[in-house]
Amino acid sequence: MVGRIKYNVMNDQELEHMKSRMEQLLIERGVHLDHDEMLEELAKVGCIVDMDSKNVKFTKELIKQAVDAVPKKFTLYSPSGKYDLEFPNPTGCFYTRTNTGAPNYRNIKGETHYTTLEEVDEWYKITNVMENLDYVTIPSTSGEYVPGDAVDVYTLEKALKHSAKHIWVQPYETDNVNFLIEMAQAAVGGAEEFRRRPIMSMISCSVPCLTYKHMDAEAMLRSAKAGVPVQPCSLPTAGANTPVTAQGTAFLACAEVFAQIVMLELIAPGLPVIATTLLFSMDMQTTYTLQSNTEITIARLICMELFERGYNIRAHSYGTGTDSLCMDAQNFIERTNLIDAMAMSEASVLGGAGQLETAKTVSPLQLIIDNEIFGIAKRIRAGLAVDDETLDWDEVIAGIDQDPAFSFLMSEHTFRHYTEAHRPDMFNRDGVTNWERGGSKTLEEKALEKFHAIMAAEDTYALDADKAAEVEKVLKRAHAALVKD
Amino acid sequence: MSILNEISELVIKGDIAGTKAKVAEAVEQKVDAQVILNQGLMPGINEIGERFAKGLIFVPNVLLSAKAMNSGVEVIQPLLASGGETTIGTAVVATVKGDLHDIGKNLVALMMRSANLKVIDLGANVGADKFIAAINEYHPDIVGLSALLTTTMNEQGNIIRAFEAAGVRDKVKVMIGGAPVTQMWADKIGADAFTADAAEAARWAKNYATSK
Repeated sequence: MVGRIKYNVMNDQELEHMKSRMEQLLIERGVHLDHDEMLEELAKVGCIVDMDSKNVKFTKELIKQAVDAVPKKFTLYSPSGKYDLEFPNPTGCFYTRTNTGAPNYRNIKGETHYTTLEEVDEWYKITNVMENLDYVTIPSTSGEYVPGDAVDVYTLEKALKHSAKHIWVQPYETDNVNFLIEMAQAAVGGAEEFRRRPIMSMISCSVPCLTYKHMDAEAMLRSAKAGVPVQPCSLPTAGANTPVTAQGTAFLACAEVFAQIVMLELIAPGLPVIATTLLFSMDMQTTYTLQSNTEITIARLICMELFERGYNIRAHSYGTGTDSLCMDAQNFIERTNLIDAMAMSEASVLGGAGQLETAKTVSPLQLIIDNEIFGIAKRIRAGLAVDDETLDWDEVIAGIDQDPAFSFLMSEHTFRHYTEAHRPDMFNRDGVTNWERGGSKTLEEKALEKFHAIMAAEDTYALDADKAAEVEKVLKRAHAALVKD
Repeated sequence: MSILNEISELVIKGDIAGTKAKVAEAVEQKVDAQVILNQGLMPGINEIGERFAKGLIFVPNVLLSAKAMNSGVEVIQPLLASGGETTIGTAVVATVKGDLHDIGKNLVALMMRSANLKVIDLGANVGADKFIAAINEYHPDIVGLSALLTTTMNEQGNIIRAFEAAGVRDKVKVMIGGAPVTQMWADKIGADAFTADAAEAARWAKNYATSK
């Protein structure tokens, strides 16, 4: 079958049960939302709001109204115009994105430190040419190099100037949210143009369980008002702040994300949203937060199914990553185990490219290798069509191979199809003799060569000077407003 | 098996009701409360600590045993000599101002309590003034500062400076932790200790409390 190889981890009864319990949770328990203005907006549309406790509950009718309002088709636009992302993906494949939120950068020398602004530039130069990477996030630049009160604003300025691809933004402070939106609007020529062509989407996060702090509520509300697509997130840790079972954690993550989607669609019907459940688990021996536990991997599939199959809402989760601290065997076992599972899931977006150490460190070499891994996974997702042409029926039934002079290497069918086989750029495809003659290079060494080639090449994208100047004006205002000396 | 050994075994098993009942039985038998503590309850929890350090058991086992121990302590508390302290030291912990992440801090509090420290948990998003007030009220041995973000970890340094200005820095040992925090950062801001996880935090606190 072409379009998607897939397996489901929930049968129909389990899916309906989870949906039913999730809605019941929002109706009977509700959520806690620390934002009076947003609570008032929700009250106006019929939610049951207690302004004293800041709790809000929903009705079945409101939930249906919100789900019905989620747009079935939308586009996340790219600054360059060359990497616009249509949802649903017309090819049936998933989109991919880089890791977000990591404070550490591991450079090509293997040194790990807090991220510098120069490394941010380096990051976007690489992401611009990664053919299997569809959109980017903003690295967590250190407060040692940019004002600590405005890390997100300063880093977004870099992203808008240098990233050819759509940008997904994490705000760090409540007061910064509006400046982030204004900056993105300036990059496309104003608020109305941004609404028509959103080149940036927003992150809003829950705090388990079912709690939204002021900053994230602000991110939701201002995004809703300005037409900024939102990819609402939940980042629970099984056994720490959500149930220890992977299913229980998936359930709460889905509920927290679903509640955000309901709130967003009630305030701004038709706002593009992508349900983003990013699950973790706590190791019961070390208490370390892990990304790669096997049950949690399956739980991510549950989340994807719940949204995509259960509600026809686009879903997003980790597609790569590791708990290993380096590019060793554990790293590659974990990240390929994850991507292969997720490639066969319902997911519309898979993320985490470039990350090590449970998303706390990013590495340009890992990013380059993840580009290859994503390529393989996208190919798996595409599947294979079975028909007479792909079976090579005509040649085989004709017995063409019975001619002693025949070789499939030179058949007409081979000429028609030989370019279709996926061929990762950096993987070894030769014998030991040629490998040794070529310097016996490992994958990591080839990634390093590729890094140098990318850095030596011209930049492939830069924001137009006039728009860059407008972005800088917003940055200046943001600095004046946000940075406390 | 002596009744004190039985108490130790029940603590090791994490049998909350059983520990409470056996301690009550020991009291009935006129065993001295301090002896029950030192030779019954403490050996049990110490054995748990050893097994955990060797990787033989999990955190929930530790927490269950700590609960069992506390259930026994509750029985003998009124009988201990006036001012008799059952904990080995006091810690004040919180996530620093601007940061709402609390999983790590909560784990540290749990593990420190399991190591028989008294823990005052001030919560999340806590500023220097609240820490200083807690130092003056509770006279802790240790103050733990947790930060999860590179943007909030600066507050750890600010708080230490505030302690100096308030004249309380010398009264406490400051321990820091959190995902972006490193030993280098601890050295830079003048913290007394950096601990990588909750278990290490509890071990460090216990070692300090029992050695001072």
